[in-house]
Amino acid sequence: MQPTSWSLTLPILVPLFLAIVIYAVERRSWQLRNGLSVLAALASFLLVARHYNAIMDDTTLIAEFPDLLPPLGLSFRMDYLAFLVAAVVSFVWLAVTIYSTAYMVKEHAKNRYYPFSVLTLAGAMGVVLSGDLFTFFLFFEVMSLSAYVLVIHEETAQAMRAGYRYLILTIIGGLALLFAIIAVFQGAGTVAFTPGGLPLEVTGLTILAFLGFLVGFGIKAGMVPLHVWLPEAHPVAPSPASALLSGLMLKTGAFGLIRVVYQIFGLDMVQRAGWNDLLVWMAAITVFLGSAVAVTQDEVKRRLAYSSVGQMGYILLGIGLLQERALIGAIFHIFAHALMKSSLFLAAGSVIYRTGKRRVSEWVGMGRSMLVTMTVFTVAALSMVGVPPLVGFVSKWELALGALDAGSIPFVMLLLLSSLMNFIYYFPLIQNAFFGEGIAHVEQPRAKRPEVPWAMLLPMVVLGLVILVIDLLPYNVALELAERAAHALFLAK
Amino acid sequence: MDIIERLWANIYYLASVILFIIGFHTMLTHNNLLKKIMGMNIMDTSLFLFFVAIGYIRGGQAPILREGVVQYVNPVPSALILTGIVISVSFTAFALALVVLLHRQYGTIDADKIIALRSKRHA
Amino acid sequence: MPSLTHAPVLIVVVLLLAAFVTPLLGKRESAVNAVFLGAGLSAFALTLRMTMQVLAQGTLSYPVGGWPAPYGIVVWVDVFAAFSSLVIATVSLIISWFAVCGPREVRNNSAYFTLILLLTAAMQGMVMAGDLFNLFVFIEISSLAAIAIIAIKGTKESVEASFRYLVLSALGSGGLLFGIALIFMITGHLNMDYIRATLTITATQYPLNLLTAIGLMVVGFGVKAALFPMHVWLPDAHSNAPTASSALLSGLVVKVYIIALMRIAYLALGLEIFALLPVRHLFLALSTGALLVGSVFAMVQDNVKRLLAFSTVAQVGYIFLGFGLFSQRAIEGGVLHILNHAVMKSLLFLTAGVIIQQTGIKKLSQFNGLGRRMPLTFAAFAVGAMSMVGIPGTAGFISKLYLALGALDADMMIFAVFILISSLLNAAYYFPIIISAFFGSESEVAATEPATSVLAPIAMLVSMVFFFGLFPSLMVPLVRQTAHLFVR
Repeated sequence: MQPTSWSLTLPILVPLFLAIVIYAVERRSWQLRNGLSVLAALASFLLVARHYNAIMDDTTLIAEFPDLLPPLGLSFRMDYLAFLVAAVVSFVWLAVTIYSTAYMVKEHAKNRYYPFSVLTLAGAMGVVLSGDLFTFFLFFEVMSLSAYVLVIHEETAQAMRAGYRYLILTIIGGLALLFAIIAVFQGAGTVAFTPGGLPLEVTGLTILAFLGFLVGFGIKAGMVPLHVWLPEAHPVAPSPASALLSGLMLKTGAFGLIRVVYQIFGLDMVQRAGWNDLLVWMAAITVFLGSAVAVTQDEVKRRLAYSSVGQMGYILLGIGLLQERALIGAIFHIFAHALMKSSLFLAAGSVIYRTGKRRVSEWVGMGRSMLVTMTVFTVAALSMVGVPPLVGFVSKWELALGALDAGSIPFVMLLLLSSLMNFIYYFPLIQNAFFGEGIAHVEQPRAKRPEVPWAMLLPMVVLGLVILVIDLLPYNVALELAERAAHALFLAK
Repeated sequence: MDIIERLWANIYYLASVILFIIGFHTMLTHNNLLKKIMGMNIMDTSLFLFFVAIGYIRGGQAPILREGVVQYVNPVPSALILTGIVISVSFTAFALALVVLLHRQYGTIDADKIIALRSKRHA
Repeated sequence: MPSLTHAPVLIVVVLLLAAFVTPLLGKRESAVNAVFLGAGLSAFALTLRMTMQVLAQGTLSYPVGGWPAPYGIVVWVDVFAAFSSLVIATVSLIISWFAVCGPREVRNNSAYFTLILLLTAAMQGMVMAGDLFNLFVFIEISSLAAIAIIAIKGTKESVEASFRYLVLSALGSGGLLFGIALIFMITGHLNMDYIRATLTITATQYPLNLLTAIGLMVVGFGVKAALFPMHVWLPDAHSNAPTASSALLSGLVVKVYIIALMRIAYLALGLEIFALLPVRHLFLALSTGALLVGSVFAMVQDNVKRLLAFSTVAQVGYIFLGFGLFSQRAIEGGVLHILNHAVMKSLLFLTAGVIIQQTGIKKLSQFNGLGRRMPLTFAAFAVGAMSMVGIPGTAGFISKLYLALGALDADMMIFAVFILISSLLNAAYYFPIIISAFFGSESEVAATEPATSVLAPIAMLVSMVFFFGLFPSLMVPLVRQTAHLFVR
């Protein structure tokens, strides 16, 4: 373990600083505003990615600041898990920010959107790179509260209602987390993420602590029945923001749960206390309900939102099974779903941008009018279903193997069943778009101009390509990282 | 009989407590603002009595140094009470000024009526 | 330098002198302002120096006039007194700055500033007093000044509110004086050290007197500190006062009575004797009531200042909770909250005052969209609100964290839950204000940002909220040593 000081905090500090700079200069130059926002995401990604060699060398980077905010102090940690999640979060954020420079042109209050988007990025990076529960909590709150501004961006009555619900649940979740963190601190004297877990006994207090974590992270990750804010909030935000919320922010809840199960309580304690059973059942319900309700939704973004609920259930299931392969699946799915869901939302956003059509029933023939967009959508959707060799297949495969390892056939059946349900709600959309009767009335673009601006087209295509290609590459870096991460967590290193 | 004797021995304290209760009660329950101020005065004065009674020693002389005196009364409480009386007077003066203002503004010095007038205006 | 050993007394003297001089300056605005702010600055410098001295050399015991105890009056400056003194000096200076540069709510500034100087002088004297009757005198001066700075507004509501405050305050003072009398009766002393020494002998001889005295003092101070259920005077009083007064009252005045009570507890009575009455449990029960009732009533208020006043009722509950839990970290949390709430609540009241002045709107239901017209002002309000809720990074979070940890230390987890629930309640009435202001429908009100000179003290308070939220380590040594006065 090499202690490295400031470099670990840069992916957080740079966007934080830039958010303030953007707020200061945006009135004078929108180019500067957009440019700095993209720069923030790019810088964040590069500042994470540069640690690749050190991480792959089996080092865990730690930075500690015990004098800041006593008695708990701040600390940061980058291990395999943090590296993978931070890299994918900043990468997707970069893609989405480039996309928004074109998408948001048609929107109002851009000067509010950009700084808060960058601030949310800083918060998210802080969450992922945190080294202890307190740092985690601090940035978790920053991220969640600044995301509120993104949720209510449209300021319609519906948006305000959704935002209100989001805010209430976020606050309750935050308080539940705070309680749990305090209880852990009381019991163990520290809240640092420790491989193998902290020396804690199963007492009334720790049981309440676990429940607090479950509630707090569950609300964020969209675990049923704490998901009720999600289907309102994700659709009502502007599409790039929906991509950020559904594709990335949800993952922080799952990330927190992984940290807590493996590095606060520890595998043994969770197993002894039987908490994994609770988690697994909640996850299973989430998978089932999320997928089932998605089928009934006509508004595309709502369908995608419920799909996210179901997909997060996979990740939670992978965590709760307490098997290494299942954990690989869960971690890889964080990566995969981030890519897939954000592409889906970006594609949906492109359709809405060009045509204003938000409902599945209106997307008839869209494939013919917006070929590239719908192709990306199809690729991502098929990946969600789990069609090999797309990226979504790998996570489901690992999860299924993990379920088998745990000896629970029912969960394998659940995975298969939910894949079928995914198919049921994605396929008709694709079929309608490409083979449906009638052509969606879309103003044909002028000759030589793409169906949506390049800034929107490019990120979608890049994400789509990654989804398509990454499993075919001789070296699937994400899978490698996920495997090593799970291995490290299991071996308590 | 023992009780009566004890009470008589502490008659000053007893009187003080009774006056305190009267003053306290008046302040709380009477509606007339001037009566409230009077209650405050009675309450404060009762406490001054209490203090001075603490200092009193039966058979003691006034606390001025002179020949042939064996026992002086404790001068400290009296000195304290002078300060206390000043405080009480200041409060009374200020309270009376406020009552004059209130009368000018509301036309009454009945606390209940003032509250009624206030809530009527707010409604 | 010889003058510095006299620092404790100089603080009070400087402020009193300025209070005597100010009315003589009559209408000369610049002179009045100069004397007012100059006194505040000097007091602040002196308190700072005194605090550093106390941290370095331990408790300062200063016999006034050179007359030694028990004949003379002793000023006893320990860590708690130094901390409180520093808080008072700092926050009152910033509020005074606002009173000078901010919107003019009082016609006769020289009278107003005189009263504020008297109030500050009395508060400083109160927290440093080592003698019971001296303490009482300062309490009375501060009460009178506090009532006066409400009434000076001159409106019907403010006069009525100040009269009600006067009546209840007098009741409290009466109870307090009676308690002091009873203690004097059984110990023959007024010097706190001597009382404590004597009580170890006489406590068993006159238990009834002692218990009555403690009870009366708790009630007396409780009324003045607006501890539930004796808080009923507060909402009217704090909401109908000029803005600077509301900030002073909510931020400082209610706290000094808690400080005075606790000082009597460990200095004059001694903690074992203070524990003869179940004061701890009383504090726990009443503070819970304060947290709940304060928040619930705040939620239904439409007048912004009344909402802030009820919020004060709840926040005072936190401080009492810290002392009720009586573990090291709980007391640290309670004491820290004295500082943090002083800063937060002043910030909120000052921004509210600016908003009311710039827009003429007092009702929260009409705040919609104002945040877009006055982004800086409302951003400052938002910072104060977030600190009240306890968002990490702000000062309010730190005190709540310490209180919650202290609750767990004291094996009373339920109070940690109460603290968190009250955070939720706080959010329920603070967040809608901010949301409505920034994201609500367009307002028809002409609203502009106030001048920079008005925003400057507010900005100072904002930076203090963040400063104490991110770097609480500065205050920790003072607070920790204060807690040690109570708990080993």
